[in-house]
Amino acid sequence: MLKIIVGIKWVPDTADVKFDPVKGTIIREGVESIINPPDLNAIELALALKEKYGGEVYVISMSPPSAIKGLKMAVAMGVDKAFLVSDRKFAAADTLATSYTLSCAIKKIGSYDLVIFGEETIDSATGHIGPEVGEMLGIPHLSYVTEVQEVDLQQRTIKMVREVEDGVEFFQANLPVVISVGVGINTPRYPIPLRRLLTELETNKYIETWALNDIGADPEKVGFKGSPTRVVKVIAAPMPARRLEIREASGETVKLFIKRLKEAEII
Amino acid sequence: MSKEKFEGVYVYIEQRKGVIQEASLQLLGEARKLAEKLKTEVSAFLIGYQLKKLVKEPIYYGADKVIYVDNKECANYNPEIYKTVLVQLVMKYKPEIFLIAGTKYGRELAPSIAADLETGITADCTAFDIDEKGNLLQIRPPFGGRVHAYIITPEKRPQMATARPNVFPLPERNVSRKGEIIKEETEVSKPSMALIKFEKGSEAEIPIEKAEVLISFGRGFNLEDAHLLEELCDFFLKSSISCSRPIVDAGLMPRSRQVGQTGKTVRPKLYLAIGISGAIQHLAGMKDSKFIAAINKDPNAEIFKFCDFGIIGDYKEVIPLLIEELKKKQAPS
Ligand SMILES: Cc1cc2nc3c(=O)[nH]c(=O)nc-3n(C[C@H](O)[C@H](O)[C@H](O)COP(=O)(O)OP(=O)(O)OC[C@H]3O[C@@H](n4cnc5c(N)ncnc54)[C@H](O)[C@@H]3O)c2cc1C
Ligand SMILES: Cc1cc2nc3c(=O)[nH]c(=O)nc-3n(C[C@H](O)[C@H](O)[C@H](O)COP(=O)(O)OP(=O)(O)OC[C@H]3O[C@@H](n4cnc5c(N)ncnc54)[C@H](O)[C@@H]3O)c2cc1C
Repeated sequence: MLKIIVGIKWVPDTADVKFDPVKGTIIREGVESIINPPDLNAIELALALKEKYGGEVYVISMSPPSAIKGLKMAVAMGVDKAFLVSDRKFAAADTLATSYTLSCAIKKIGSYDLVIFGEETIDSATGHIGPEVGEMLGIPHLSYVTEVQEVDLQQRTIKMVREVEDGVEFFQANLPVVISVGVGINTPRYPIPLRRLLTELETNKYIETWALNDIGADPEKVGFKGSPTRVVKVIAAPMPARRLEIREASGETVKLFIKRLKEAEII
Repeated sequence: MSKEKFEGVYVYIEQRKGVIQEASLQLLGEARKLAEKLKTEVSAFLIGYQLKKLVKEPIYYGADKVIYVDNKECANYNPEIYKTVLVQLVMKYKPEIFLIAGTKYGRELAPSIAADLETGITADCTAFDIDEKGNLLQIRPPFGGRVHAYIITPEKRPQMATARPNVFPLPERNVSRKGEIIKEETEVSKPSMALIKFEKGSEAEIPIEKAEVLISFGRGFNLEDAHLLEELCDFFLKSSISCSRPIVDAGLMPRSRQVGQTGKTVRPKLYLAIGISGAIQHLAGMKDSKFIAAINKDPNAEIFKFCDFGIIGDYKEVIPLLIEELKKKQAPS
């Protein structure tokens, strides 16, 4: 029996995000939100491990209630239970405060063998949450994991593979551990229509909402108050201007291309 | 602890198997500038095993002081051990600013140190400055590089940040620079996670971040035609082959050749994207290339909005034409 907790973030689909060029702010209105892509790979990995070793998969998300949509989707994919960790006091958290809040919620869930996060989000993309939560739970953490080779439930050990710049590393660790995984390590399954229906009909059975008091968090350490970093300003970063000379393929086009490369002193 | 007790700019110098990673030396140049503004020193933390040959290198690249831990247990990078050692060094030396190169190891190590110290950390910075109050201004490009966020850590110390590799220039190596070298002993407890095997990836002759010309391919390219890429490459000096993420995820190329948000940042003189659609996460890694060219059969591909020269067509036809023309240019007339 493996008990696995997956952290997911409900994020604006950055491909759609627009920026206000005057105010330099992000326009979130009208932008679809999605489960952060690698978090789907994290869910898939968790469900595959459950199928192999038996057990339970829980997802948690610290978020405003709008993330319920994402949690329902996770349940429809086959997750046993989802926890929405939500409180006004959690607002404007940086990664330290987010990780603290998530680690309180994970402790509240109680026993677990494996905690899985995405490698990084498509919005603020720090990749901090996995390592920070590991530290706060006092257990080892490994990022960039591409495969869980084996879990030994008797010895309570896990074998993992991960990719770094210059090669592939194989690690063995005692359970529990925290790992982070990237997009492309597997193909996330689709939500099951019947489960989707069940989640709609019996939302309360599958999704629990926890506020600050429920997870026993220190109010000084959450949200804006608990965040040592401050975002002073955000400005739009225009893409470098390009010549945009686009041509249909032909002998002439290729000649022109080579001419341009010469002008740019590339050849 | 009051923040006044923290002083100096510190850089973690990452070594892998006895080789100092260039990304951390690049940071020494940036650290020097910050230290001059703050009128303080630059120090380097270095950990590993049998480091004798390496300890002076950070001095040559701009550090005033090197503090190193030479311990058999640190021979290979282990996130648990390295974190414990670095936390002890930070507690003892109390840096005002602590910078770590945003390599895969660095991006994993830095937040775990920050969490242990309960301080703030900013990820993947591409610029630094000192604000009017003397805080470290940390500038980073989230949302696939479409915005720049300015971040400070006003109260907690150290102010920690990782920095994207290959953004800051490598300072000149000056072997006549002098500095202080301090050996530290720290406690290393038995880790609950261990590296059991390492398989070295096949590295390109010229790593993609050093190439002046990159022939880059994506999902629209069939590797059965790999010879076309190689032939094309041969026309350019200092050229190399890179790719988009799905190619690496499919196991067709090593991770070291991936361009993008979760791969490498490159800025060659020529970036030629073949069968790459131009997703925001891909653009994040190559948008600052000097000249961007694309071959794509879809006239509406995003990449055509971000390139200097675009050829609409099937690469199977375009590349042979290109090779033919390049051959003509080469032949003595
Ligand atoms: C422009 C901008 C820049 C920022 N830069 C920084 C910065 O440099 N440093 C900093 O400390 N804060 C920063 N923040 C704040 C940061 O965005 C939040 O703390 C955010 O909630 C978590 O960070 P992330 O998205 O980078 O997560 P990552 O660490 O990239 O996320 C990794 C994984 O953790 C899990 N995860 C992330 N968030 C949650 C959640 N709420 N619930 C459950 N699981 C989750 C997911 O599995 C995800 O894939 C920034 C915010 C903005 C708007
Ligand atoms: C969190 C996250 C991080 C990511 N990080 C990265 C990253 O670091 N790097 C990265 O690259 N991606 C990254 N991605 C993936 C990214 O979103 C895109 O999915 C990916 O870049 C697409 O790769 P591609 O352009 O090769 O493939 P596709 O988008 O499938 O494009 C293939 C292109 O080839 C063209 N084509 C097809 N046949 C031919 C032909 N015969 N001749 C010419 N053209 C042809 C098609 O028109 C199409 O435009 C990330 C995604 C997420 C969610």
